[in-house]
Amino acid sequence: MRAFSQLFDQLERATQASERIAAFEDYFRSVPAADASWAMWILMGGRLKRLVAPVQLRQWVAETADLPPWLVEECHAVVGDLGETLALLLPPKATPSPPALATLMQQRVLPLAGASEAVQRDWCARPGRSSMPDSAMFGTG
Amino acid sequence: MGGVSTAFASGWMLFRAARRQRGGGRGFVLSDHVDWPGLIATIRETGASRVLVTHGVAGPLVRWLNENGWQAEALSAHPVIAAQTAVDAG
Repeated sequence: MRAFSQLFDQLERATQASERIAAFEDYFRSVPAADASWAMWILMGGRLKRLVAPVQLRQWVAETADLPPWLVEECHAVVGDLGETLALLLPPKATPSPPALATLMQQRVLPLAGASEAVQRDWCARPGRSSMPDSAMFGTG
Repeated sequence: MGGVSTAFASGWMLFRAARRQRGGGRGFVLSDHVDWPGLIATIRETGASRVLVTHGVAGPLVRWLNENGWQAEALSAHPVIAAQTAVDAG
C-alpha cells in the first residue's frame, strides 16, 4: 500500500511524461504481480461498485469528525472528490505498516460488500488518515 | 534551465484539486492561516459570545458558530473590511 501511495504521489508531482514513466518503471519492477495488477486496474479508473453507500460514508465520517453533515458537504464542494474529502476529515492516526495493495483490496476492501454495518463503519470511519487509501480506492469519484 | 523544478506552498496544497490546478510540481502544505479546530479553539478561549467574521470564506464558520451557541455574522460587506480583506488576500 505504501509503494502504491508513493507511486500515486510521484505521478501527481511529475511535470513531464518521462518522470511518470520512470515512476511506473520503479513501481512495477519492485512490487509483486498481484499488487501491480491492482494498481494498474485502479489507475485505469477501475471502481468497486456498491461496497458501502456514499450516504453512509458521509454520515459516519461526520460523526467521527464531530462535524454537522452540511459542513462535510461544504468541504466536499471545495475538495471536489468525496473519498479524498472524507479521508482528510478523519482525525489522523499513524498506522505502522499498512498491508500490501493486493492484500488490502482482497482481504479488507472487497469483504466490506457483505459485511455488517458495524464492521463497515469501523473500517471506513475509524481515525487513521495516514493509512486510509486514497479516494481511488473508494471509487466515489 | 536544467535541473529546475517548481513547488508551491499554501494550505490549499492539502488537497489534490488545488495541487493539480498548479499544473504539477510539488505542493507544500504551509499556511499562515489557522485550521478549523484551531480557529474554533481560539474563539472558545476568547470567551466571546458575539463573533464577527472578517476574513476568507465566512459563511460556513458563521453558520457553525450560530448553530453552536455563538452570535455570529460576517462583516465582509462592510466597505472598509472588504477593502482590507482584498489587500490581505493579495
